[in-house]
Amino acid sequence: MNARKNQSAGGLALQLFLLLLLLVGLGALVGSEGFAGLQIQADFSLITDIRLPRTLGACLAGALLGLAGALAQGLFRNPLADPYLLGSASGASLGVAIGMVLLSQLNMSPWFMRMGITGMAFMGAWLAVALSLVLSWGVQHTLRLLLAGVVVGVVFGAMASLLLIMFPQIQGSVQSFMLGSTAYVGWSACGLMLAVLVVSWLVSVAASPLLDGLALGESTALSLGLPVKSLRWLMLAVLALCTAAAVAQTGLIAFVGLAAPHLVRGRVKAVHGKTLSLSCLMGAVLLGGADLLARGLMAPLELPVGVLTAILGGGYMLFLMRGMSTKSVGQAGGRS
Amino acid sequence: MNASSKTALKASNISVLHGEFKAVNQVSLELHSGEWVALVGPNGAGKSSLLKALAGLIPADGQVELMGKPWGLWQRRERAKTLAWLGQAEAGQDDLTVYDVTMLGRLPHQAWLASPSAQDRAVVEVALKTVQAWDWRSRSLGQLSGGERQRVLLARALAVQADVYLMDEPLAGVDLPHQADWLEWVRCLTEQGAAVVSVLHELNLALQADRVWVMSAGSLVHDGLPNSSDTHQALSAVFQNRLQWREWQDGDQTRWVALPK
Repeated sequence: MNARKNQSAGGLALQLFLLLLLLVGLGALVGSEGFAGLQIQADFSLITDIRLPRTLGACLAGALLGLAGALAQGLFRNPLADPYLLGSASGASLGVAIGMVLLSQLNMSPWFMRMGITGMAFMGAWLAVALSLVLSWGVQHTLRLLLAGVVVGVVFGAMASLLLIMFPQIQGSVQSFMLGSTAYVGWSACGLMLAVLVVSWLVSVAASPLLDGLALGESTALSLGLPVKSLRWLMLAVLALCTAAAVAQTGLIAFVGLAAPHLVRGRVKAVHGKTLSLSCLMGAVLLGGADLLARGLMAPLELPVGVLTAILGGGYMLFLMRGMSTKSVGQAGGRS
Repeated sequence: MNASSKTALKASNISVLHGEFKAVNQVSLELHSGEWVALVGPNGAGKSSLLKALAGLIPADGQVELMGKPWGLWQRRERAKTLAWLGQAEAGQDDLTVYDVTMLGRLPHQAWLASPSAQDRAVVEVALKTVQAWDWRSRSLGQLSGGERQRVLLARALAVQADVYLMDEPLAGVDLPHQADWLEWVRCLTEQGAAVVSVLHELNLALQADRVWVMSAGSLVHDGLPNSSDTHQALSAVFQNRLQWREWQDGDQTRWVALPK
């Protein structure tokens, strides 16, 4: 398919890293006046307290989603898999809705409310994944697991919608959670996401031979002596952790988890140890860039960042798809 | 095959259940080092299930001994070095390069996360050159035709350097010249002392093997030499008597071909 030669993994890593540095730098400078007011301002605390953590937070959440997406697509051997596929999105929404209902009845400080909502989103996402695993009787049967994830997602989503109808006062805040936002990310959230990212990245790279083996089918992976079952549990746990950590801080950011691994694999053909790391970087650049544009494009009005990730990522994926022949899109079974 | 060769794989009373359906029913067999056995039978006879059970990839009743050692006593990685599996092409992500795929065959030989040693690289190079895929080693699996892909998967299995190779339809989609090559590779493997079992749908390739196992409805109904009339009768029986047999001379050897009737 490719007239373009495959890029080296190191080259792409360097490009993405430089892009990321640029984004963080710009992110610290762009304020509510948008790109027009681009200058180093005297008010240093504005940069260190608000813009920098927000920009870094967007990049970290993007990295988590990129990693989760690459894990999901490798584990389920499905290019349509995304971090939310085991019901974690609906679970987080339900958690947030329940949290909003509970907290709106009590009188809490905004800070505690924010922490409480984050915790509820985190727990909801985890609960949904755990329930999917229970309903599918474990990890052996990936199709059963996917279907269980769909069921859990639909049921939890319906329950969240029910809460929205019963308590209309929470509608606005739950809706903005579902669109995703990087506006409230502070230093503590950054620290948390960074810790989760480092641990998850190390674990997934260490377990990545499993994904390489699985790319040739489960039988081949088993025959190569890989402890398929335990590694699969481990990776699912990492997938759930990454997704929950990102979702809890920034809401349901669309498309980054699905697009980042594709954008990487469109350029680099390599073992999963490399594509997982590159997907982290790609996710960070995608969400970091989207966050910057969300703030700058229509300043002082701020666009929901989730809308931008969908437009940007979707647009670029369409561009990538043009270069694919039917052969590389199709699977082995349908090949003549 | 020589008569003094040792038992590479021995199975007693293997049964495989798919739900209520008994896919493999009480099969016992013995495979010797240095021989190539073709496993044939009609669709749904249980060939793949038997092969997977022998490779320990699906739950099965019965005992399997690999190189004289009971299955359960093997450590997973040691076993993976000793027995190589080549499955029917499964759908999956096609983003790995030909070289990376072949290097996966070295996984059982490598310490976890260690980068490939010089020996690993050398073995992979030989394997890829054997299947004539070395020149396009940096292409991705998704860019290959079905037959090319199958050759790469074969190289992956060769890279394991195992004592026993179990191959499920290794020639699906492979063109005639490469089928002939495959026959040579298998003979080369067995000359080096390896044992090979391959499920084959092309009967005339199967008749080139050292031995033929005939399966029907989950049972191993015949175990015999490719040129014996017993084997031909067993084959005709399981294929609804729709075969006709023709004799031909291969040098000083008499061989047979089966044609559809």
